[in-house]
Amino acid sequence: MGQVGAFIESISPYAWASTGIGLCIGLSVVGAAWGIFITGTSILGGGVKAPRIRTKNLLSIVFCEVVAIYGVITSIILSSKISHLDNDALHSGNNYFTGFAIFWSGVLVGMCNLVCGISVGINGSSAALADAADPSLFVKILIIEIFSSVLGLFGLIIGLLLSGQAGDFEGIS
Amino acid sequence: MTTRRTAAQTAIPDTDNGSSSSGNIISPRASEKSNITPAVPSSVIAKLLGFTFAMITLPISTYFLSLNTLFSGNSTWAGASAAIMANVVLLSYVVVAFRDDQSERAEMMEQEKKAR
Repeated sequence: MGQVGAFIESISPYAWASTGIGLCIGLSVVGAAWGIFITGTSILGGGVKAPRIRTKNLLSIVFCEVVAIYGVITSIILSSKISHLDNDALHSGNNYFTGFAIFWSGVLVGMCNLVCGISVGINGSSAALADAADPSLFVKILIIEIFSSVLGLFGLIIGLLLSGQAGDFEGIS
Repeated sequence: MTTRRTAAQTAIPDTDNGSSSSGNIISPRASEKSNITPAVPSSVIAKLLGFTFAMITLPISTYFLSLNTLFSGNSTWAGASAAIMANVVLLSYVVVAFRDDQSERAEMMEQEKKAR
């Protein structure tokens, strides 16, 4: 088991941090795009028979878009912690912590936003079709959609807290 | 008027017969102009573009503007305020969309009343 720990420690903190930032924005965009294409096809399909569902149902698209914005905000915050250091100064306890914290807050926010985006998208798709069939159903489904969009906010909050614990990459003073 | 109407009524089957016998399948209504005005009014499109632009620029500009002025470099609070701004844009879209929907529904009710 000691070999596993040695292997993890042999990876540069820069690699952890950059992978975390990439996963954060990448997974968020995958979630948002997945939600948007599910919702968009349903809005267009329902809109063929019931053209009145246009403005109100684009709300679901905006909900999906917010998920991607969460990922962008978190990635900007995480990437602001990275700065260049010489090789010897990099391998300190503080810098390892910063690398791990950035990696895991990126994975955390990315996975939360991926699932949240899919959830909002499927809800939005159902909202469009239900609204096309019966306009009184839209508000009820919108409430469920708000609940699933809050899931992404949970991920953002914890990601901000976790990365807030980590300082920037610093040389030994 | 009455003579004209009868003339038109007799004329239509005549042209129909003539066109079908000559193999021309264009219906007599094809010569009328079809309605090609856009189904979505330009105000709706302007609103959508405005909200899209706001959603892209507002949260990120809030982050960068407030980072060093309001929160003195604390990126956690600046990020939280950016997330709040994203939700403000979302909520304002909810309000605008519902107001649009209500006015549309009122218009439809009035048209139904007029039709009666």
